[in-house]
Amino acid sequence: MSQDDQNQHSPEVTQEDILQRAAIDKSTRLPVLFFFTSAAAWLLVATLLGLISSTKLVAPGFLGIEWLNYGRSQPAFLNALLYGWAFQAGFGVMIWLMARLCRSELKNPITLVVAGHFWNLGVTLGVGGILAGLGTPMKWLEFPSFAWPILLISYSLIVVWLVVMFTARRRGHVFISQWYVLAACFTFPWLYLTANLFLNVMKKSGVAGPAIASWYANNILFLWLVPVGLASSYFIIPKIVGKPIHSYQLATLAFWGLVGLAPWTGAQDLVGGPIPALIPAFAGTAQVLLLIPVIAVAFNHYLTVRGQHGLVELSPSLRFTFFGSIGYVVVSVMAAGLSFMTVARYTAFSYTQDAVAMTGIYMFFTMTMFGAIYFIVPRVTGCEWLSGARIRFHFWGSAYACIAMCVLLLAAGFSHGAAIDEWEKDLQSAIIFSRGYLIGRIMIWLFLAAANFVFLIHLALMVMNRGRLAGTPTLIHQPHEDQAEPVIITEGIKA
Amino acid sequence: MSTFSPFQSPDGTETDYSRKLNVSSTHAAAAREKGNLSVSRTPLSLWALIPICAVAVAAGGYLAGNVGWGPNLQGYNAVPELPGGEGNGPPPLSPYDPKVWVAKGKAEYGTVCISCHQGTGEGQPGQYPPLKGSEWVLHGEERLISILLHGISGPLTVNGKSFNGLMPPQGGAKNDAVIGQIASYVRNEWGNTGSLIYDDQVKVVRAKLASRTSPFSEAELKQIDPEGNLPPSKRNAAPAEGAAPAAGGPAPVAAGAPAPAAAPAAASAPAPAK
Repeated sequence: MSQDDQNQHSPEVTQEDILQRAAIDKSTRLPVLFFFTSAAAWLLVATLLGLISSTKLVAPGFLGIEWLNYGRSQPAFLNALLYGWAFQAGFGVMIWLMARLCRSELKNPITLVVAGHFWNLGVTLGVGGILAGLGTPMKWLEFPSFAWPILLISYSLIVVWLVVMFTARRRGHVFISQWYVLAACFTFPWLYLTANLFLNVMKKSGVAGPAIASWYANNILFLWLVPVGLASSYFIIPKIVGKPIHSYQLATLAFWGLVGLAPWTGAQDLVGGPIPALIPAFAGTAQVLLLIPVIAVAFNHYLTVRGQHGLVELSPSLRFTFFGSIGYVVVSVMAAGLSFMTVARYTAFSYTQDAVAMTGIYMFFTMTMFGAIYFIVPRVTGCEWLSGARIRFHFWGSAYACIAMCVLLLAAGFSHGAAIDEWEKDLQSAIIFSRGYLIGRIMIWLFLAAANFVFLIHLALMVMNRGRLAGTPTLIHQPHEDQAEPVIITEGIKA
Repeated sequence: MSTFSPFQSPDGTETDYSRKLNVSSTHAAAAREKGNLSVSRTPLSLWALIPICAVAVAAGGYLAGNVGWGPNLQGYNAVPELPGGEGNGPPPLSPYDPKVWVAKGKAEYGTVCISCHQGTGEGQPGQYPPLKGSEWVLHGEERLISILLHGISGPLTVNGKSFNGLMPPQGGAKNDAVIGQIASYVRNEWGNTGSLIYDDQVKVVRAKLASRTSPFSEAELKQIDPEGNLPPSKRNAAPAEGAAPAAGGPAPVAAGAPAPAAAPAAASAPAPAK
């Protein structure tokens, strides 16, 4: 790896580089746009299901169809958000990043699109199955048991080309983002196959079932969403800031720390439960230790951006990515804090689990993906985003909603958990106890729905080639006269 | 190709709205990108080591706190003691709790009595007398227990209607507690309200009638004081205060014992069954 790294110090951009980038972008156009658009469609579905399920918890009679009962719409929402939106947005970003960083054009866009169709089929069957009442009770694995082979095979068909691309890369190009993309290629099949073999094939779950499901869910967060998100932010931040990543050492520490520690985590969700104390204790310890890679990444990103924070104001990609990086810190601190026995005693099996899921999937991953999409789409479509105002609306709608969701669900979780802890009260009264927070959650979903709707329209216009052809980037704000200088430095045409 | 685009940015500051494709615009995004990505070899900041070490210490504390260093690696988490005594659930109800006592009476009633007196407590017109609103049930604890223990034979007037039959004695088949539970149940069901009767009170009656071998006649029953209550039970002392919030079910009136006297007893009474 050392020789590769030394060869990377060539910040000069030649005309040849530009033409090569353009050619790579063009070659990835079909699969990347396919995954982004189908991800966005699933984001819409997930948003509606999220709105319905959070309403159902306050007004159970709302839309009185059996298919949309809370017990079905809630897992349908989460799985649509995860497998429909997050994974597919991740695929698009992984493909594009891998092609760009390996400096090779994508040879087989059609294969990827076909595999992508199968992935969508699997997600559709899964979400439909959950709504039809066929789902399983395992956390983040609620898809009926016939869906998992479809997802696993189509995933493998997608990532095998990324691995091939990596092995055939041009010599001298391994960047931090590639470590993470490559890791993500392998972690999902490992996690998904293991969990499904134990839970859906052998079915000898008993007490082990929830432990395996917790391990799976936590690791999908820390071994798939985190690597893909970090691959994106390690790319976007230096690209826009125009500086090298601050420290190779910190990046190495963060990568190996994550990969080495995350597989131990998960069972701390069951702390105090009927499994040997050893398992949740080791898992909780690993979860706390996972803060080390978080600190390393946070330092690295912060020190890379230092001195150029004005760009966060202007660049949509950087702003979303920066917000997502903060989300990474927040979700890691939450997951570590909630695994302490003294806290978990009150919060286990409460809405704090929703808080961790939403912070991880939305505040960190989704926001990072938005940043990547705002960066990649103009490159693969050849036109620019139409409106800075729409991006601004999308950002603030999402950002307020993420922060509010995180705070609200944490508070709801503590009140819910404390109410469950009182043995005189039944579960229903525990839910009613947190009702105020749950009503707040509906409001947040309305915010998110509005923000996502604007984003979807914007993306659809871009995909239909209705973007601007001006050749200048669409920024969140038009820079003031006195700020004009740094903007030109950032994103001005160099060629 | 048109040079007009309807898709103008609301910002309106862009100058080129041409939809003409050209090389410079399609490559513009690639061209304006920063140089190739690189990683600098800045040494690890000491400031970063401080929080990293703090995390490592916290994790060690977590491990020690949850596993300990002892041989308990195979054990289970010690769950902190919650209010409510043993286990983490509610404390077990006393069998003398009015709700429990009456509920047991209902179950016992269902085994034998129900076949004649019916689930409605109204009996069978002309054949079996009603218990609902019956003066024999509601008045005189001693008299009711006497009937239950030794039965009735011959004509009997209940609620103004006359019956002529045999009520078999139950004292042989059922112990004091069951007799008391059934009596308590029939006194507090179907709109009846009366005191609860406990096994220690039944015991008194049983001892008093120990020599009796035949069922009572109406005339004999009338010799028993119709308002004659038994000496207060020691059982109801504990649940006397708990009886009040027993909403939903029958609202039994605690037997005889005056509440003030019961209160200190309640505090010291040991929970009868564990």
